[in-house]
Amino acid sequence: MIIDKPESHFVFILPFAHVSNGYNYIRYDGKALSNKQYLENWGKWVFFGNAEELDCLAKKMDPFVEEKRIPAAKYDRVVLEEFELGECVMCVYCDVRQREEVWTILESLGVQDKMWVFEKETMERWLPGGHLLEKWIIGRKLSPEAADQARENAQKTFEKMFENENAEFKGVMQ
Amino acid sequence: MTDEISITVKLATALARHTGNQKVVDCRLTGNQNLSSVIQHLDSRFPGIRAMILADGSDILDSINVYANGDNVRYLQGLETLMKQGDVINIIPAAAAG
Repeated sequence: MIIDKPESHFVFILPFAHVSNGYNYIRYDGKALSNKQYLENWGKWVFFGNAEELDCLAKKMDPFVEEKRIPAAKYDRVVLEEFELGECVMCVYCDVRQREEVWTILESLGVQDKMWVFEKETMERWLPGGHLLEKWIIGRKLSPEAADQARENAQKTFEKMFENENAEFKGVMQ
Repeated sequence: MTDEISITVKLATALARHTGNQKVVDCRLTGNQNLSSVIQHLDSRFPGIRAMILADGSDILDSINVYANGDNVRYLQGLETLMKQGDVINIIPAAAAG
């Protein structure tokens, strides 16, 4: 189902079961991933489009998400100015071991740009010293103290999320 | 006689500002060539774009991701990744992968 809440920057495409019945879409071969497996295997296909194109694609993609052939997706509601991309981005999530099956579906829906990103890469860029966190801090014009606090919070959040590598991965707050 | 190969380079909007908004560039290369040759070729057609992709030491900037047929070249052989006929190279700001 498409979760389109105006207060959120992102529009999500999630299985109804995930939203209502506690189903965790972060899984492979029928089994939810542990924190360790998540860092090793979970990732996303990333591509660009304008908001209207991505809205249209989301509607086509939704049935595949309900069938659990695509685990989940999200996209920018509007262009995020901080990063000067000039386009909206869609991320289609899956385990690296099923990425070609997911890509085949995306290609059949007209997606052309093929770029795979491991979630671990993204997380590292949001840790202290990471390119995205530092750019976000500059974009928000944070004071040096607030910037240090943001870095410390990012580090603590990461450590807390992954302190037990065998625990089931529960997702990232968006 | 050395075979010519054709590589398609796709640039994200943020980078296409340096190619007169041309987002798809066809690169024709001769012989055994790698990603470094593709970027050199790109720079010969659009002077200055190399500096938007590579740091002074000829490594890919941390703020840029380069993909060869879907895979980040950091997981392949980086700038030494060998090119073959029909390869598709996507070059995007790393922020897009966040």
